[in-house]
Amino acid sequence: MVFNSFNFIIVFPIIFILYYVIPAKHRKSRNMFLLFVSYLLYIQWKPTYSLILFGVTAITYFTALAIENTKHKKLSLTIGILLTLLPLFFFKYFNFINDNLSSFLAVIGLNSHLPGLNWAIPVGISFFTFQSIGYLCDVYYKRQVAERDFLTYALFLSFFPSILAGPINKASLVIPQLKNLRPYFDYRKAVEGLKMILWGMFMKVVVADRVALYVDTVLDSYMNYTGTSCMLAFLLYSIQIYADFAGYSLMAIGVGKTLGFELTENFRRPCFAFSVSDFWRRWHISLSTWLRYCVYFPLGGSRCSKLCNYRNIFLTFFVSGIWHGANWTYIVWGCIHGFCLVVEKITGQHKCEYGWVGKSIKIIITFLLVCFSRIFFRMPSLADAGSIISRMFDPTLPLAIYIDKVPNLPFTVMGVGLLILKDFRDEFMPDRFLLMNNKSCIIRWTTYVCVLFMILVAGVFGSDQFIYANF
Amino acid sequence: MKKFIIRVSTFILLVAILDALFGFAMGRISERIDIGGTGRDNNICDKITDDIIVFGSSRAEHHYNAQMISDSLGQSCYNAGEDGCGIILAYGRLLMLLDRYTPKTILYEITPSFDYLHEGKDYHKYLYKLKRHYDRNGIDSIFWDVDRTERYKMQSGTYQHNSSFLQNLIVYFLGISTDIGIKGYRPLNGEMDTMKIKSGKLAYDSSNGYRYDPFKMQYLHKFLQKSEGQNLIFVVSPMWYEMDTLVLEPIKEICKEHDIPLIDFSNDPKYVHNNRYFKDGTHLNAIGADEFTHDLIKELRKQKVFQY
Repeated sequence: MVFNSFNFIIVFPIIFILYYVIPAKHRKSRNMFLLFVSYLLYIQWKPTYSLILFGVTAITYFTALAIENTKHKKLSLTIGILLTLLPLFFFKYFNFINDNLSSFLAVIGLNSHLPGLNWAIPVGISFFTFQSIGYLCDVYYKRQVAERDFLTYALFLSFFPSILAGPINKASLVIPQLKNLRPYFDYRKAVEGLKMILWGMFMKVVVADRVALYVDTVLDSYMNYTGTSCMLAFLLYSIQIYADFAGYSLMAIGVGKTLGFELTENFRRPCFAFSVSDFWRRWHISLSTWLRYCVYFPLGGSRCSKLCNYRNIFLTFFVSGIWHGANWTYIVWGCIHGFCLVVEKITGQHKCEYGWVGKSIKIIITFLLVCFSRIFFRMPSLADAGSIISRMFDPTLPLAIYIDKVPNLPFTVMGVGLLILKDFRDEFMPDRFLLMNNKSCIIRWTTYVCVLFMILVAGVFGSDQFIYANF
Repeated sequence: MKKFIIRVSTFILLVAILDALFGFAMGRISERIDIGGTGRDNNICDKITDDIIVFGSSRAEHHYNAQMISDSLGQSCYNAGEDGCGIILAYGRLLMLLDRYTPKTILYEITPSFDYLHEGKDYHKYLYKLKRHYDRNGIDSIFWDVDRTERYKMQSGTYQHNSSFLQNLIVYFLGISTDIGIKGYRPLNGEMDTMKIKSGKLAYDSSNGYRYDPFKMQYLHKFLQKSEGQNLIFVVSPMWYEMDTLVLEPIKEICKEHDIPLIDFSNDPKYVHNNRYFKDGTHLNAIGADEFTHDLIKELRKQKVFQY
């Protein structure tokens, strides 16, 4: 059940009330209730998916105990990771590997093709698989003690706010909150959570889904549009994917907060990143953290020769590309980011030692680089990506820009404008022009009402899908 | 907890009051608009009493010159086609028309993707133009069929004017609007935009087989039921692209079963790949629309479909 669906708006207050009906001293009952709700909501997608979730939970739970209790820690970790990756491999990557292998074999004159698997990918599989592998790595590197209580661990993996599209939580953040006695109700946290849900909803339905109307129109039949329209569509696609994913994450964190939990921060105004390295400190932070701890550090991180360090950076982003999807486009996207990071490291551009003019120029360059890489992220194949790039830079095409019709245009401008203004304020003047956190109750409430009204009148309803839920 | 519940309840109450006021005000404003898309919609739902009504998608809206049909056949005609819409909106509009009067003839422009092909499950886009008429006889059940949660969502006055309020305010207070068209017909002026066509492409492609949408089919049959006793004619207007006629099989079967005439201009050599008549691959320009309307009238006369 996605957060911007009508069903969730009805179901969540019921979950909220029932959760707080259970006294705080019955911590275990509260956890049991949350586990029950998490599985119940997950089953809504497809009941058999929950078996995969349960299987991954059981494998990683026992593997973590084995890592702690045996001498063959590395072997246990390897087996555990391989078993955990098995469902992800079959559901997400089997067809891709099978097709590519067959094509390769055909080139060398061998004809062999296994039948493809026509299975729908279980919702959130990449997220809970990576979260559980992160947990195993933490136990192996002794950053986390293996959890003895199966229910607590099962809730950590299946916790409904974050199972669909993250954040990929660290065990060290969530498990202690599940194990310790939580206060009955934290007013400040609950209000904070509702504000996050409200703004997250605005980002999703007013900005992302509205912008999507333009982006999808142009990019789904890009041959009908000029190169400049395609360029504009990609600039807007960057806004769309940010509003979509950050909006979802904000709602997930907000839902967690209303229930008294702190989840991992996932976005920190990535549009204002001054380098690609800085971008990855602000974009999908929970995945970047996971990659750092589970791929980059085990490969040797920066504690090796410069050359090895560059290789490690590149490989980390190669894995990031694969994680996003079974398609060469994602791999190319990951490689572009890896390449940019290596170049920045070599030239020292990962830091920003310039004044505001220099910083502004770097922010614009980084934004354009990220937008360019997203061509590969968005297009269905490398051929399409190549074709749209050549179209974008084709001097023979007219410079006309396709302008969306009313009512999309004013709503798009309003939504994107407000999002950029808010992020600008948060980034450069966090203590000024406070609206949702203003001391005056009237200003605060007026802001809440205005945001809710904008959602109702300018939101796009009926599109209950999040881009990152597909990963 | 008590403080939290009181504040949240107060907020919900405040929003509910403002929502009702907004919905009421916007309802009154949109009812009074007589220009632009809303004005055209008001005309269709509340005013027209024409003998011949054209239904269908943008291909209906831009292809059927209603004035020309009226002048040639001596019966008044109104074009009630709507961009991006198909059978679901047409059924709703027919219900509203039948509440007032019964048109003698219905010309229905078939657009397979909107009328019976499966395009995914999001039918909400077809409800956009019906939202303001939710309280009318039979319209509410269309919403419930599409999405049962619409029953609750439509209680919100603001939601009823979602996406349309700004446009309506501009039209009402500033008088700025798009053309209402001539008797609902909105010609596409200008020449063919060759960038928007792909040579060798077929309009509809059966290589992966066609998936029919049972929901749209159900509405197509409902439409047939409601138009019983009227002169219903299905038409497929010309396309620049060659069309895979296999896609028309379901409608051919329906026509055969119910003895309804089907006039098919797809693949007419006069129009296929003829840039002079088109604005893009699927839409005729004003010249093409006049030519097609002329040919359609000839065909209607030839088939003697107006001999009631």
